[in-house]
Formats: sequence, C-alpha cells, structure tokens
Amino acid sequence: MMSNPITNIKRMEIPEETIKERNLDDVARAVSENKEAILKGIELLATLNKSDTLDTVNALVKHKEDALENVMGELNKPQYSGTLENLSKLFLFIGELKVDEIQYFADRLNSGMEVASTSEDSVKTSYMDLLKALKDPEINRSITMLLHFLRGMGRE
Amino acid sequence: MQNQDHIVVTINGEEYLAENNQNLLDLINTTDEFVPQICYNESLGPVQTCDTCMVEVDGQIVRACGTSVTPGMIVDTSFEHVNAAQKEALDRILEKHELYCTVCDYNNGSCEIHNTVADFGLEHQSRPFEPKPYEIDNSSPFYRYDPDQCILCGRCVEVCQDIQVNETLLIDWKREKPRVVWDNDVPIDESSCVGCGQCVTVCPCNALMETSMVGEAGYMTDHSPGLLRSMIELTKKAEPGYGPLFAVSDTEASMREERIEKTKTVCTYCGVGCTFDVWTKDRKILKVEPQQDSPANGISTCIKGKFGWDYVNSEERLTKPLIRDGESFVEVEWDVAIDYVVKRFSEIKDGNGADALGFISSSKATNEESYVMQKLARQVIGTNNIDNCSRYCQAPATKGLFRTVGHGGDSGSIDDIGEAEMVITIGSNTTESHPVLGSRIKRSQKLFGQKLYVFDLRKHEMGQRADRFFQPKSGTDLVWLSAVTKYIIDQGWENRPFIDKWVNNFESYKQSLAKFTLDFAEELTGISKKDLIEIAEQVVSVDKLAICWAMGVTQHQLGSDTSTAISNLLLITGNYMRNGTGAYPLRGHNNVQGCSDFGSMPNFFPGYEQVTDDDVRGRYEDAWGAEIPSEPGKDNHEMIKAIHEGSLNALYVLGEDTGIVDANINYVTAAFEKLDFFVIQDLFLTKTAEYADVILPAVPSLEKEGTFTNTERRIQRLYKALDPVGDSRPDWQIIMDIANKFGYDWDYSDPSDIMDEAASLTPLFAGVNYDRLIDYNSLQWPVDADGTDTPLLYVDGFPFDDYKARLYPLEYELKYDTNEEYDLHVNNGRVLEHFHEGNMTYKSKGITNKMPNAFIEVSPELAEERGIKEGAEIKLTSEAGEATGIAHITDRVRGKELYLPLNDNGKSAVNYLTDNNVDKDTNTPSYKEIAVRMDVIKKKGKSPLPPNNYRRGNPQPQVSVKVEQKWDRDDYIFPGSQVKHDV
Repeated sequence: MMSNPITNIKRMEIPEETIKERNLDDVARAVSENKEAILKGIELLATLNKSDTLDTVNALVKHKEDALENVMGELNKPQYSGTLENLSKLFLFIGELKVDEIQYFADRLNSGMEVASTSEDSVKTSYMDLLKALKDPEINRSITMLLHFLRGMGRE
Repeated sequence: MQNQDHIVVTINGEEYLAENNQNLLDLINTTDEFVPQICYNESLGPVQTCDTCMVEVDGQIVRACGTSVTPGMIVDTSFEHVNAAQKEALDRILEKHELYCTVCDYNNGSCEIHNTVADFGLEHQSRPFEPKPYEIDNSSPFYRYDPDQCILCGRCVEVCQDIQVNETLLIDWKREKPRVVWDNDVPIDESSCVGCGQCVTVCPCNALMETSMVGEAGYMTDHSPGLLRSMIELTKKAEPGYGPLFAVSDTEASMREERIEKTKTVCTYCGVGCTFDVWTKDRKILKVEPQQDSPANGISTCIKGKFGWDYVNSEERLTKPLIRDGESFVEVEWDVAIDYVVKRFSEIKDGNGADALGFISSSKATNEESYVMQKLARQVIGTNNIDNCSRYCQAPATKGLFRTVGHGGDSGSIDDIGEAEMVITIGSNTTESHPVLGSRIKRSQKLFGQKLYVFDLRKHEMGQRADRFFQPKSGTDLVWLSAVTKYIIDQGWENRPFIDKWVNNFESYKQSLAKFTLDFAEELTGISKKDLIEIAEQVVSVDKLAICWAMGVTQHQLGSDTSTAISNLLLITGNYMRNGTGAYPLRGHNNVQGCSDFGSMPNFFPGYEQVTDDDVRGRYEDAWGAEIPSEPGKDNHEMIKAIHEGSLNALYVLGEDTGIVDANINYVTAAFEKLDFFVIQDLFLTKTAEYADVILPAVPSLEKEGTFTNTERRIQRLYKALDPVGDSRPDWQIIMDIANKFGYDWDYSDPSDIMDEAASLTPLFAGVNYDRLIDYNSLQWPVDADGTDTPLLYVDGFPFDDYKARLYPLEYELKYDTNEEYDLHVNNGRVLEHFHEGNMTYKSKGITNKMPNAFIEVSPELAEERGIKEGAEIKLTSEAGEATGIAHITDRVRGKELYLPLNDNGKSAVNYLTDNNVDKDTNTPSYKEIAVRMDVIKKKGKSPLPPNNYRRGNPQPQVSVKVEQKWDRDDYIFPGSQVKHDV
C-alpha cells in the first residue's frame, strides 16, 4: 500500500440547521444562567424605548465616528478655547474656595439684605448719622469685618 | 567577610548600609525615599540623559544615577533647590513629550513619564510642548518611531549599542533638534536593524511602539489621524493640570485591563528559552514584553520571539482531525479519528509486533508531552522505538559530555558565558541561531574585555567581531582541538592540581594525542602552527574559559568525537566546576533539551536512565503496570531504514516536518510512502503530513500549559494565553485519549499531574513541581527533592562513582572531502529571520517581507570563476539529489564553499542534497558534509536579498548614547546649576 502525498482537504459540511441549533443552544444556556439580569435588561430596554431614547442611542452609536468628529471639530474652534480653559479653571477655583468661611459671610450678607429691604428709600443719612451709627454695635461689627476683609484682600 | 565591603551612607538624615561603589540611585531605590528617574533602568545601567534624579551629595547637586557611593557620603533628596532641579529636568522632558494619556496606546499603567510626573506631584507644565520638525517613521513592519513624543533618554540607543550590540541606533546630538537616527539617518526599514524589538521594550513612553499596539490598546485610540489629533488637543485643553488628566487616563488604563490579557510564556523558537508576557486582546496578539526577571533573557528578545507569532492565527491552522480517503483528507470528529488510530495501531501490533511501530516526539512540544509520548510507546504499545529531533542536532554533544563529565547539558548558565574571560565558539552562528545568547557574548566582548575566538567555515557576524577568527577545513575541529590540547600538555601548561584531584585517564589520554602534532594539525585544518600555538597560549592565559558549540560540530561523521575533544580540552585546562567556565552545546530548539530529558529516546527513560538497566526499568514497569522491552529501540534514522526494509510499518510523528528536516529527504519521503499507517500531529498540513493517513490538529505553545527546558537545563512554565483554534487540542490530551482508548486509565487533569508523575520516577527531576515554577521562577536540573536546583554543574564533583571526570582518547580519520565530480562544499544552517523549515516564520508577513526565501551564498571568487552575478539561478547536484536556488554573492563564504540556509521547504531545501552518512556514535546525519557540483541556469537576476534586509545596512558602533555630546551643547545647562543660577 503506497501513500502518495496529497494536499486536498474535504471540509466537514455542517448543515446550517445544525449550526443554528448549536448557536441557539448556547444562547438558551446563557439566558437560563442569567435569567434575572436578562429580565432586568429587557425592562431597561423597554423603558428606553418608551421614551424614544433607544432610537437616539442606536443612531448615535452607529454614527459615533461622525458624532465624535463633529463634537471635536466644534470644541476645538477658537471660540470655545476660552470656555474650555475657564471651565477647568473654574473647577479648580471652586476647589480653592473656603466654603465654611464663605457660608459665614453669606449669612451676614443675607441678614444685611433682609434689613436693607425693609428700610425706606426716602430717609437720608448725614455725616453725623454715620459717626453715630459707628456706636451701634451691629454696624460697628460690619464695618470692622469689612475693614479686615479689605486688608486681607490687599495683602501680597 | 562580606561586611567589610559594606559602608555607611546617610540619606535624608537616615543611615543606610551600602556596598562600596554601589550606584547611588540603586541604593536610594532600596529605601523609601523618592527620587524621580526616567532614563534609568536597572537592566541598562545609568545612561545619565534625563537629569531628573538630581540629589545633593556632600553639598553639590549631582545625578544620583551617575554617582557611586563612598564611605560617609551625605545625601539629600528633598531640599527645596534639589526639588527645583528635579522639576526643571521634568519640565524639559515635558517640553519634548505631549501628555495626552487618555488617547495614547501606551497608557497601560507602565508609562514611566506618566508615572514619574504623577509620583513627583507635578501639577502644571511650566513651558509649552515644542513639536520637533520630524515625521513619524512608519517604515518598519514591526515598530514605529514618533520623534514628537521622544524625550531623547537614549535607552533605545543603549540597548541597541550595548545589550543587543547591533549598533544601529544613535542620537544625533549635533543637529539643532536632536533625534534618534537609524544607521546614517535612513528610514528604520532600510537600516541594519535586526528587528529584535528591544528598543521598543525599553522605551519609557510611546515614542517607540510595536505597530501591533497602535490603535489597538486603548478604547479611544483607533480613530483616523485627524480625529485623534483633535482629541489630543481637546484632552490638553480640558485637562489643564496633570492631576485631572491622570485621573481620567488612569481610569481608562484600568478599563484596558478588562480586555487585555497579559500571560507569561516561553518562546517557542530557539533553545535560549526567553520568557516574556504576551499581551492579547481576544485572539489578537498586541505585543510581547520581556521582563527584567526573565531568567535567561532579561529584557532581551530577537525578531522571532518579539514579532514572529502570526502563525498562531494563521488561516492555514488545522482545526479538525483529518483522515485520508483516496485522493483527499476528510475532516472527521475526534472520536472517529482516535478510534481509527487505535484500531490501526492495534492491528499492526497484533500482526507484526510492538516494534513494528515507531514514535517521534517534538522538540517544539512540552516536557510533559515528551513524557506521555514515550509512555505511550513503552507502556501502551510496548516498544522503545521512540526518539526526537535531537537526533538531528544535539545527540553528539550529549554523547561527548556523557563520555567525559557525565551530564548531557550546558555546564552553567548564560550568565556564566557572559562572565567568562574567554569564549570560544565552534561551528556556531550564534547571533543568528541563538540571538539573545549571542548578544551576551558580544556585550562582554565589547564592554568587559572578554576575548572571543571564533572557529567557523563562514565569516558570519561572530566571525567578523571575533578577536581571532579561524576557518578550519570542514570536519577537522577535532584535530586542532586535540593539537592545542597536546601542545598545552607538552609545554606542561595543563592544570595539574585540577587533573590530579578531579580527572581520570590522563596518561592513556596523553598517549592517544601522539598523532596530533602541530604539523599534522596544520596540514589537515589549514590553521598555521603559529596560530595553533597562539591559541594554546591564549587558552592557558585565562582563568575562565567557556566553549560554545553547535551544529557545525555535531552534524559531522565525527560529531560525538569532536564534542568529546572540546570537553577534553576543558578538563586539561581545569575549566569546569567554576562560574564562568565550562561546556555549552547550544541547544537549537525551544525544548530539544527537555524532549530528550523527559525520555523520548530509544535507549533512555526520563533523566537519561538506561532502558537496559533492570532496576530502572523495574521502577517504570511497577509504576505503569506494564512490561517494557529491555533492549533500546530504534532511533529516527534507524526507523526510516526499517521502514524501507519492511520491519517498521506504522509511524506516529508529533510536531516535526521530518520529510523536510531529516537528511536525504528523497529517501525519507520514499519511506513514508511505504508505511502501512502514518499519523501526524501538527498545526499545519506540512510536507510530511501530505503522506499521512491521519492528521491530528495540535495547538501551539500559546494555547496550552506546560514546561520547556532551555539550553541552560532551565525548566520554565508556559501559561495558556489563547483558547485552541477550532477543535484543535494540546498534544498531551490527544496522546492521553489514544492511551485511554487502548484501555488504560490515564487521568491527568492538567500537565502538572504529568510533571508530578515524572518527578516521582526520575531522580534528576525529583523536586520539580509547578508550584516551584510559578510565573518567572525556574529550576535548572538536577533538582533535589527539596527543590534545590543546580545552576552550575559539577560543583561537588562529576556524576560518576568516584566523582571524577574522564578524559576520553580519540582517533581521527578524514571522512569527507569534495572531489573532482562534486567539487563544491555546501555549508548550511540558520538565518536570523526564519526558523527551521519555516512553517512558523513564513506565516509572518513582516518577517517574510524582510526575507522572502532561502538563497545560496556564493563567494566572489567562485562567482567570477563560474561567470555568475548576484541573482543568478543555480542548480546544485549531490550524490543524493538536487536543489535549485538564487545566488547571493558575499564574502561571508570563501572559495569553493557555498552556504544554503535550511529554512526552505521548496526546491531550495538543503535536504534534497544531504545523504545517509551519519555520526558514527549517534546516527546524527552529517548534514554539514555535502559535496555538490553547480550548474548555472541563469547568469544573473534579481537579488534574493531584499533591499530592506538588515544585512544591507550600515551599523554605527559606539559605546552607549554619548551623553557627553549632549552636555557639550551650547544650549545645555545642568539643571543643578540652573536652579542655583535662578536662586
């Protein structure tokens, strides 16, 4: 018996039905093992669908490269450059603010405004009134605070 | 004693013990103190380019990496002006490198610029990034260089000049904007770059990157260049301080871990045994990343290990078992294939006896697979007809060592070769056949004054680099070795104390040398008497000599004897038992050592225990519950002969293209045609498989677990990086199925079970188990039961009864020469780019683009004599057959010697020319002894060597990166001086 060299391969023809069956089996197994997650997923999809969000997301994902290009192109225009830089600077600025102290300041401001809103516009304050007012402990506290503030603000 | 070498150094007020002259940065890195560092890499040593590791030493700001510690040194790393200098250096780096990490493919947690800036706590860039006026170099198929991202740290230059020692890369410090250049400033693809990829491995950022990573590693990196650019711009605008930028990019980096797997594996090409992490994304191989802790190679790789993995995903992979049916192979399910194999094996065994079957293991497969293959042959079938491809290459070296020193393996480690004062290589094209090991020798010679003597017919790179290069006549190495040994003894230069204490047979050996006079040697080898004397003088002038040899020694009719002569010389000069000395037969395949170690040999059980030894055989018979024949079986060569004679009727070949790689393949394939039943187990439908009755689809190393043993006797684990393709399966599982179908109950659930069984039966591997081999851990055999391994052999004596080595007397008779009819000698061997017959490497587009086919090297003088030019088509005819190929005219060969790389399975396959002559002691074919005549088919044509082959490049040797030239630039100010200036 002689075995000559051969190179031809007859591939196993797996009927499409069999492949389909196998795939369905795989999917069914996965569904059965993840029943709860799948049901929740369906619920999520239904909610998204009701609000038309599903269509929007679908379209966006399909055109993600275009969308990204548009957004990037737009955001890279010079007019946004200031906004973007400010955005991040603002973010850092917020971090530097001392919220506790600002809170205190804001409380003062609020009660000041409350009183101010009840005062009458027609009454005029003379120079002497001003000097007298310094003796009013409430006004004095405000002025002192403002002076401290001005000193701090001017400090190098 | 050691404590005397230690000194005290004060760092930030704390005292530390240091070794005298220890690198200061190394010392700081062992403490909790943080000093930024980018160009420094432990594997490379200090290159001193990045200036970030500024510290104050005894009142002066210096680079820590450029400073050696001295007793009483006072170091401060945290003074304000020290930090200012560090920051200045970092700012300079960030002028050269844009941080757009989130959309960078290198953002995988290991970017050293990213990490250093983050650790330093640098928040803002003081000066803007300045683009450089150079385009990205995308010319190479393997990696790309982006000058705009390059910080000029010079690690790539250091590794290319002093680790790989290919001397291709340099930094041109003279131009206005310096950059890395290849050769004399040519595109990467046209340079002398050998594609080892080490520059990419050591690059601290994304300046040098594997092309397989580009656009693949990140979630947001695979966009068109324009879009990517706008994303980079936006990233920079929207992420002003580095803190927020890193928060986003670090998150993206950890998301990548979700889909990129990093798996430790062992290279599947040569015997050096490089280990590395392979990065995969689904089935895509993103990159190969060697590690500092890789025992054999460190950060090194060669072109095949780094970039040669395309075969794993080749469309040509076999995915279902095949059975011959008329003129076609038909795909079948596994149970059908296994049933058929077992039925036919049984019929043939029942009809003609167990010895009518033969088994050939693979040097590509794992130790565990070698073990189960020989177990299948011995236990299940009942024959010792089991062998492996070490028969084609390394059996003679093993024989020579068994005769003299008792262990068939390298005496020490690659580190010992690096440490030797003198290295002799004989018949080894080291830089192409064992590239990473070759680089170790080149490095030691270039930087540490190691003497390199090279003996070879052909002036390959090692020959060109050698301190002395000798071209002995083919097959005469035994003569010059013996003559040099005799001269040493005649002069009384032998190592007398060593011989007295450790060596037997001195007198009878000395007498046997009588014939090997200098005159005799000069006449036979062509090496002059003067040179022979100088060789002897050089050999005895050094304290540590290592000799490396390969197929140029073993593939001759006197291969075993010549290997023995090498060992004799080492014994006479006392070059065993110590680090930096010894015998190094460089193993050719990833697991050619392990395949023999684990028993796939006709005369040995695992661990080289004789099958004729009743005690040993009894041990296996008890363990396996089977009777094993007491006589050695047939080796490869004898099996082919037995097929022709009709006494061997079935053959099972695992992972071996025997019909291409055995000698005299016309004769071998004629034998295949006569087989009653032929089983092939392989990844591809190889030339050999074309003759098979059944082909079983196996998997490559990346798709299975197991261990390989490299040339250093080092056992290393490989982990599964990918799932098998289609229905293919690991060899060990297929073999186990066959055994079990025969009615045995092998129940290995994992290769570690196989290793446990082998270790329990084999004293040489007593302490080997998978727990001791986790990740990058390795063991060099012999391994004691307690896990103690043996990096250096013979430390306590030689493995004979009296612990003494044996000198082995030798004869010599010239067995081969060219003659009037066949007037040319064909030398043959490897090229760097391809492996063996090329079944794996030709699947790589990049490698094939660099070297598309084999060629025939012809000397300029022969070309002129025969009137042929580059690209001529020639036909070579030997007594055994003929081969045709394209001529490449080069002075690497001289006179009437031709060189034909063995990496071809078409009409240029060298084994159409080789014949049935073998080494007399081991039956290894004498591949290197081919006499041919040459016929010219076409006088000239297109060169077989493409214009972008590295052999056409122009290397630019220098030591390191020449940082002095940077310091000499007018625009350079030392950051330490600059801050003083500013203050």
